[in-house]
Amino acid sequence: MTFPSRGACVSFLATAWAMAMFGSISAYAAAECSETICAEQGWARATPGGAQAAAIYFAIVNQGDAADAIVKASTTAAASAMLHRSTTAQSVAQMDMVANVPLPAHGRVTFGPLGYHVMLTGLKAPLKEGAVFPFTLDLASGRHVNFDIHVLGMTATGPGAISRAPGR
Amino acid sequence: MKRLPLIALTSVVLLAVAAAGAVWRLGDRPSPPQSEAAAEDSSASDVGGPFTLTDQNGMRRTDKDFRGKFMLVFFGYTYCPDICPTSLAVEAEALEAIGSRAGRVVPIFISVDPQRDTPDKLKSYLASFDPKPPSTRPNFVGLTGSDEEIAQAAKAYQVYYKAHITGLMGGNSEYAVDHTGNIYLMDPEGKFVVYYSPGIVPDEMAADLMMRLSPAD
Repeated sequence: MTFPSRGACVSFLATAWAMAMFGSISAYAAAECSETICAEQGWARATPGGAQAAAIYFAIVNQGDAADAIVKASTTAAASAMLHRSTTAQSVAQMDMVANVPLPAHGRVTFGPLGYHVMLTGLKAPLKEGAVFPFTLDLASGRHVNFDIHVLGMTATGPGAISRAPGR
Repeated sequence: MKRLPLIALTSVVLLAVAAAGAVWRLGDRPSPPQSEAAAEDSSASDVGGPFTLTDQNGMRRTDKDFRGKFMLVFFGYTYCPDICPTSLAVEAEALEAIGSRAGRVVPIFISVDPQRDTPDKLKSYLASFDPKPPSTRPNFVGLTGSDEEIAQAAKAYQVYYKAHITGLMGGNSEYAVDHTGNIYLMDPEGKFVVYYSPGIVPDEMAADLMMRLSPAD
């Protein structure tokens, strides 16, 4: 293996600097993950008036060598939290509860619109834009992952707004 | 190996990263398996037809009430946590993006869950997606009705829907409704133009709408 040339080193540093500059890209990298498994970019839309259910989305990174799985979700913000997966095969929107969500070793699983989500029912209060609330995932290995969910606007279509809403 | 000047190399790297970031952010979704954004085909040309339903203010509406405007028709239900809010959010963002042309469109939400979706339920639900000043995009129209009326509307749009139990809470069974998730664009004569598949992003829908709608008078 050859030692990297100075040019290669500088271009690597330039890339890293550029990535840091573009917040939305660095936000997707698990830069702050000191645990084996970290969840980040937790978001939900504000609940429409009268809505009984809400979907929670996030990304979860498994930096370890062993596969794991999410087996349960919970939050004090709702009475019930179920793991769900939406599918849109042949344009039919369907969602089913799943018993667990596999987390492959050195892998990243994203919960997002039209895919995996945690469905909350029995909300203690409507989710309001700007709110932040704690969320817990229980894993098959016995680990618990705690992180925050950021409530974005009603027409949010992705977590990007988290980085654009400082102090909320 | 020839060494590029440092500035040129850094610029290329930065541009590549910027381009990748711009493409990534365009979709604004973490992981896209993307279905066809918009589709028109001969088998879908029969989409559309008469309906008589009740709107969120309790008024009876028929499809004829909407002649003269484009309709964006989506079948969903308020208990749906993911696909329905997502689709309404995408519609709202797309209508926002097309500016004054949005005045030629009526976004319509037809419930496939008339048991739970009363007019009042639809009213508070859809009000949350309605524009706040200074936005001028149109308000959503929510429609519900009897089981038969909803079945008839769904049949006209070739929309499949079926309830299935998702669990038990407090002794009551909870159900979700599987349903065709397309958004149908109908012209001012009530004729089918195109449908947008689930997974379409606002920019894609806005671009297609701009093409279909002539500039506002």
